Amino acid sequence: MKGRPAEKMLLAAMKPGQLGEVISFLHPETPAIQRLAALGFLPGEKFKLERCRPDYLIRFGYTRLAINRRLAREVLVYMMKVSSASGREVL
Amino acid sequence: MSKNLPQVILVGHPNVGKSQLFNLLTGKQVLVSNYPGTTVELTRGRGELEGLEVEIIDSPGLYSLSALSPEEQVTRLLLLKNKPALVIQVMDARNIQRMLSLTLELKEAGLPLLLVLNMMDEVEASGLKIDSVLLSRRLGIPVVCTALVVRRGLKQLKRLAAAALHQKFDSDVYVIPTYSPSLADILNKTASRIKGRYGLSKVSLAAALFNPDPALLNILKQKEGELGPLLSALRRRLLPEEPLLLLAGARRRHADALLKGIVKSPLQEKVTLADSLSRFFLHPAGGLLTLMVVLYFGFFRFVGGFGAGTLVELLEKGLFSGLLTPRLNAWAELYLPWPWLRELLVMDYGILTLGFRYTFAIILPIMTTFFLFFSLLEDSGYLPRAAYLLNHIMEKIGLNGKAVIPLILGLGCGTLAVMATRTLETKRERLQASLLLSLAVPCSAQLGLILALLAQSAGLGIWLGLILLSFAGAAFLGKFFWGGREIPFCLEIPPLRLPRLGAILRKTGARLRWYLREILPLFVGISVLIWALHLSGLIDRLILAVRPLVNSIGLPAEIALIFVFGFLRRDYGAAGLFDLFHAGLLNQGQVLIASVVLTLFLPCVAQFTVLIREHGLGFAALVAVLTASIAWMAGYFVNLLVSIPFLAQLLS
Repeated sequence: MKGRPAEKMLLAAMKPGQLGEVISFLHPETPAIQRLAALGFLPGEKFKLERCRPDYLIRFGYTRLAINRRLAREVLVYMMKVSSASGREVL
Repeated sequence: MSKNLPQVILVGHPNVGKSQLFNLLTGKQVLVSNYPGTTVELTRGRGELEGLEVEIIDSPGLYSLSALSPEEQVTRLLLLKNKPALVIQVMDARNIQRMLSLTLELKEAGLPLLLVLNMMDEVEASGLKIDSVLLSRRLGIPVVCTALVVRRGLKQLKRLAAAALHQKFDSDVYVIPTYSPSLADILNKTASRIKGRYGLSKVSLAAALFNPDPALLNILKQKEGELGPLLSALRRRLLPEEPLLLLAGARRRHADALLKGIVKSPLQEKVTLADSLSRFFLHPAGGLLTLMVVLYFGFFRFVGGFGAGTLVELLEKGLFSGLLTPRLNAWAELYLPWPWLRELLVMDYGILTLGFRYTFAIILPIMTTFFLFFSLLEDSGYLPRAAYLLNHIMEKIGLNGKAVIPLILGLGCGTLAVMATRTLETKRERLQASLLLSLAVPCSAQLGLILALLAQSAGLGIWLGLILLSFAGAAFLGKFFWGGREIPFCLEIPPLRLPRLGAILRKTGARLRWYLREILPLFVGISVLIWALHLSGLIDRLILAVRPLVNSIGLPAEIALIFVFGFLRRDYGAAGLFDLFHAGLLNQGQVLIASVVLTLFLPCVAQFTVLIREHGLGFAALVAVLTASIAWMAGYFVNLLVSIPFLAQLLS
């Protein structure tokens, strides 16, 4: 993915269509965060936010994940400046 | 299952085709199949690999041996206890980057492993390229590419599996991802204190101890004695971060490095029809519209209209009442001189004319249509989409999107659905969902018959309104009781897939077999019970005893029997109601009252038993008192309603 890391923010503050990269989790000891990790959504992962209503829908690689606002407020991300048609990571 | 067959265990993430492979390898010889689709238990079968007979075990979805959910713990325990001859990991090849972490974990655990890159057809369609030969060499395990939907690669898979079975695996050789020094130190120290030998390697077991479950600790205790020294070696505080995240991160980096030069992405991603459809299903407006259309056609038209209407009519009126029952009765008159035997087998409450008739002519067509519909929803990948759309509503009543699945299943069979609540994460959610299922979610036999009985009148609206009101009431009551703040929630949305007719029929068949095994003995038993009550004259006393109670809500005394039925089997009660109405014993208003009361009334014996088993006698008793009183109050209220002349007119 091209583009430079721009802004540090919570995933919950992103807008649909924006690209991001996971930095860290606010409470890594909670089961939901560990579930995210088991699903492969780990620090360093690049993703695209597809929807934020009714809940957050993110896509990384070929995986689509639904997370609620409460969890979206637990994820610290870089919001990428450059947006492309697809948020897929080039391997 | 004989013990000496070599065991082959199928593992992998959810929705990667494990069960499909299981069916392909075992043919039709599935020996045990527990509550299919809702199970956290294992499916076992017998299969043959190049002439070698093996036992094949299908395990629930597994993301990682850290095992965060009960399903995953079942699989972890299985790998720990059994010493499988071979573990086959099935993976959705498009997600290889993410799913290879599990492969590395299984490898680290020292398990004899075969990797199946499934869904290669989808990989090729998306333009992705995977060098499986290089992957096999780097991992040091056999890797096979398949598209199991079209049986592609199945032969090769069997050949490699058979070859792997003949090969001796040295369980002490494994690839360990490079953990940070502090984590590696802790893992090694803990591993060195493990004395016994297990299905998983010591390092892997040490890692599992960061998130142990009671069953795992029990097994360890048996071999290790006191676990104190062992657990004290796991010094979390020395770690810079949460151990499970460190483990996952290290494995992920290892996987990424391993895949360098193996996976090539297309420059431009192709958008398929499934993608566009999926986008529409997840759209807040489009998705809700789809959901309503799906539920309307699925439940109202297909299960209610076709199953409970057309098919029941055909079987009940055409086959039983029109053909079999009169003949059986005439035959009994001729050849059975003893009235008590005649009554036991045929006539009004006989095993053949009541038990079998209810089972095969009324309940079976309804359950068949429901299970067909549910399997279709399940196989297409639609259910997680519904869960996503409804999550924020479910959160308002103290549940989350995942509860949508047991609740929809509850519209089929409440007993199955209460079992399915096991997949919910917290005890609070499981209790809440079970309460809702017991009170305000009618099972499909009930639903179908009630839809058929009330379809022509305004009663349907009133019934629906009251049921929804009770649902909401119980939901908020539950939330009030058990609290329930918004908790972090995530759910994977698998790709949409075109369901395969064969798979749907097989699933429906398995579920129907389970269901029939469950209900037929009960139905026969009920026939016998009613026969005994009649013969002894107890039935009249029973009816006399409950008469004031049913009269108080405007119903005739005959209905008392139906309520007794309704407790024995919900669907049986509904079927009885159907009979009473067709005998002209109830008017439209009374049918409405009875429908409301039966829906809200106690769950059936089977569901009650499961409630006790899952949540204890206390909770089950609470549910019983709650549902019985709410049902009576609702009945009383409807009785007042239908005595208003305007409404009575509307109903008739």
